[in-house]
Amino acid sequence: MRITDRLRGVVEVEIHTVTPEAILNACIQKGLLVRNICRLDLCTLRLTLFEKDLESFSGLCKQYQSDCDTKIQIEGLQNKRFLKRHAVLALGLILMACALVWSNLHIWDFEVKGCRKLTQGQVLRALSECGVTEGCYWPSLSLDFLRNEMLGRLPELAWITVNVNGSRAVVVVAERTEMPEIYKENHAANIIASHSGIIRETCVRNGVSLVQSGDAVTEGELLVSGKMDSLSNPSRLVRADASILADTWYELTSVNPETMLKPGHAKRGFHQFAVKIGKDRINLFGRSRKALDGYDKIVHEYKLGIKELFVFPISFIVERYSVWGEETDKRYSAMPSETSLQTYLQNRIDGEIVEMNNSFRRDDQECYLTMRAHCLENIAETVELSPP
Amino acid sequence: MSKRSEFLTELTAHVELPQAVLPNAAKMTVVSGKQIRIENHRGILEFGSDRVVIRFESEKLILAGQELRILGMNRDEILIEGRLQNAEWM
Repeated sequence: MRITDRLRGVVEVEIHTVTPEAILNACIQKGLLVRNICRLDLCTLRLTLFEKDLESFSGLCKQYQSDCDTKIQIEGLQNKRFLKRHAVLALGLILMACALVWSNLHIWDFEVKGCRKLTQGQVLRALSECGVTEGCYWPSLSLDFLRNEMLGRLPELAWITVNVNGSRAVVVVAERTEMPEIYKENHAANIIASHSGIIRETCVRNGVSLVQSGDAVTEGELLVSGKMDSLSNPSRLVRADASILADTWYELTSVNPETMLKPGHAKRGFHQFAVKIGKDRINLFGRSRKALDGYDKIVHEYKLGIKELFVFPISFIVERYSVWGEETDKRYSAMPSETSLQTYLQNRIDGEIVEMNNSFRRDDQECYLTMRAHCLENIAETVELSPP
Repeated sequence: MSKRSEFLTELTAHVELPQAVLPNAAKMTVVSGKQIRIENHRGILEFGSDRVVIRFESEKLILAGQELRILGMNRDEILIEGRLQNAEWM
């Protein structure tokens, strides 16, 4: 039985007639929707029709001098008798509809978009101070007032808006663009080498180049001078500007303890559950006031509702506590260091890593990971000349 | 067949249009020999579990099969389910 049939109410009837085809054609002419028609014997038909059509169909049967027996009747929601018989269900449905409407007029879930430097927590905290928090009545919110308040509280913000969709609020923020560093052209500067290496390519835009391709330079060596000689005038000072591409080599060593801490086995941890209704939280465990030291606590909150559509003010909270244990594993110790060394170097240089080799050594207590990298980077570093 | 229908049939034949574009063209669609959709009918002449006769404007369709039953019907369409063995236009 289809759900729509249950909602509308259907009737299964058996008719005894000498002219079944005539009755079926009459049903078509009257627009009665009859379905699942089976011929049981020469004079008997079984069919299904909607509850609202039963009266018309009975009249039709009388017209054709036929008997109509109702076999199965499923009352739909529109039937008053159904409502009387299922008063509790009807009341529940009405209450649910009211709860849905009430829930949709309050914000129960926040999503922050567009954060770059600001964290979601900072934005939500500032919103909370402005009165926009879980359970607030969103039709009373004034967006202009909120925007003014938020821009005052968070100077990093350039613009903010809150889009409310049912019980979900999507906070869209735009952060201010920081002004670039401004220097005056008449501030003289030299360019020195930020790291030792062999120069591969030079591109001098201003100043006097003191090196050329193939030269080996050490860290701090002057590459482009800001002092320009002139035949007619005394030497003048300019702001040197250049890109010096050089091959550089790095050797980084990471020392890791042989024994590392990692989250303990699940058997050594435990879970605690809680239910949050609106702003009130109900803990489903006994020792809520006891501090649990030495445990790693991870909280998951599952909100009741349809994702990105609406949320009910009911959420289920799972707190997972796990202890930290000790793990002795060669690969486990080395692998994070290898990636972290590479990331560290990548962030440090103004170029790319061409080639990389790793060597691994361990003694009783510690593991040593040494990374040797060949890089191609811009080693030009601007150093301002002090005024005479 | 009415004069208008005859004219339209001849016209579609002359301009090489498919007959299906005619407004009252009898149509039957069979899905895997188990579900039959009939369009533009004019009523049911006979209905049984092994034989169904359907009237159209100028012809009739005799369906023979087993465990035939009408799933639904309205003024234009009839949906029949069962094991179709034979369909005959008369």
